Amino acid sequence: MLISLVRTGIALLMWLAAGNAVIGGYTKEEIISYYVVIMFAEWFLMWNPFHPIAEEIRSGYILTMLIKPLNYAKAWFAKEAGFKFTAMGILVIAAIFVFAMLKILNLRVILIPGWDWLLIIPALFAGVAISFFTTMSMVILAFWFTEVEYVNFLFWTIFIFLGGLWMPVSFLPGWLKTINMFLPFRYELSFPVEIIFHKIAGAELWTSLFMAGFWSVALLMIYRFLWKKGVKAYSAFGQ
Amino acid sequence: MKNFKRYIRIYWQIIKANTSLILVYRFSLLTNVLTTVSWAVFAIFAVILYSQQAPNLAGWSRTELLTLTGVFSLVTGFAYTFFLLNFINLPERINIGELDVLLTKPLDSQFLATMFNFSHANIARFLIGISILLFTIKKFSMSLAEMTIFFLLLVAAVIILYSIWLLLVTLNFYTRRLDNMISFLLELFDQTSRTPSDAFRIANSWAFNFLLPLFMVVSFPTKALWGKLSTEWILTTLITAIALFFLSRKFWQFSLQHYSSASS
Repeated sequence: MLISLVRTGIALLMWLAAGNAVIGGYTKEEIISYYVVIMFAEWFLMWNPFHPIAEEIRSGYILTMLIKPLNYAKAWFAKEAGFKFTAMGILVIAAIFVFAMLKILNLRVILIPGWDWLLIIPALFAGVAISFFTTMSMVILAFWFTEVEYVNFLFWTIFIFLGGLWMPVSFLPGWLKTINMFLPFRYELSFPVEIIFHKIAGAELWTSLFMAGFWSVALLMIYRFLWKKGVKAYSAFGQ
Repeated sequence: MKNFKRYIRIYWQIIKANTSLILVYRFSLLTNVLTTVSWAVFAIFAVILYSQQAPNLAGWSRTELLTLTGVFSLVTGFAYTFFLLNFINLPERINIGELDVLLTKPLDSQFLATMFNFSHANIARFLIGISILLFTIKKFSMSLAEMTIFFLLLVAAVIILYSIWLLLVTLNFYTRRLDNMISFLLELFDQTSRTPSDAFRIANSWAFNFLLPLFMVVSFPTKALWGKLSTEWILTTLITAIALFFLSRKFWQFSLQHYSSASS
């Protein structure tokens, strides 16, 4: 959460220092609101148990899980859900801190409710699914390779831009915006936030919702395929 | 001088041993290098994107922002190549008592603890930094004095980064599980260093003062390159580097006296 606070805080500062009244279709107040919302959305939507799973595979500890009558992905999903729930207290402290800072700096967060907010719920579910199965698919590469940390690093390098973490995706040039429509990054984080700020409507909204659903299912299938192959290829310590 | 030559010779052997090790995992090396290159591509892309939306950030033009990215890449490329793996491994070495192996060697403990591992993949980051700088610098004429100051500030930047890192990692002698704090501070460094210091000055002078040592690593050498850094700041940066280096060394030596292996 602290890292997220730093990252979004500095990105916000960069755009505010630019001094423009409107950037990429966002007013100054909307940009402030965007970064506050994206910071909390990141906490809710990023289900990313990459490091502990990579360590389990590398150390051979995963064997203790494989011999149990458990679904490995479901077990980790439950662990992550438990973590998110128990860490709610930290989130509340972070929220108090953020709003106190905004008050000190005389900045405001503006959110205008609308009917389209109903679509946030499926968008959030899709975001969690995409985030979780992307992580699971990436980390399973540890079955074949000794070092997978760099895959995660590469993913985050791209995700920061195309997922809306560093800036709203509407800031991207037209050609990249079109390509991004068909990639999973946007649906992992940016899409629900775009709905909150009413930056997406009509046919584009429904197409995006379809794409979010498509990537949720596609990444689940990719994970299942890699898991089957990976478990067969895996040979742990001591074997 | 004789001692210095001896250490150079030993360090050359360390690099050779690290190279042999990395060649066992060639695919890993390749992916590491590719990741570093893609990071650089996205960093440049970020500057282009940003300057398209906002051509002037706190008085910094696109070329100046690109130079900032180049200096960041150069300094971190150098520091990560020589120190990154050591600072990542050191907390674990201290916590499980593996540091004993290094302490029993007839060499300076700080030298061995912070320079035992060499990260080949980060050479790519260093080279990318040089390439970006060569591309941006040619657009402006610079005097020999400006070049010398820039070079001195680069050396100071690496020393500051190394010293802050060492100070933090040395805390592991007193308490365990500092990984989160170190990750947080690395992220803070990564994010603030790629942002011009003047953006912080505009936003909040308190934030600017608090993060001052981090600005000395990337923003200040970049400003010196354009002749925008005052003599006071140049001297302050050089003095800070020397002071931090001695402070971190003294803290390391003091903490070693309290180290009692894995049972501590």
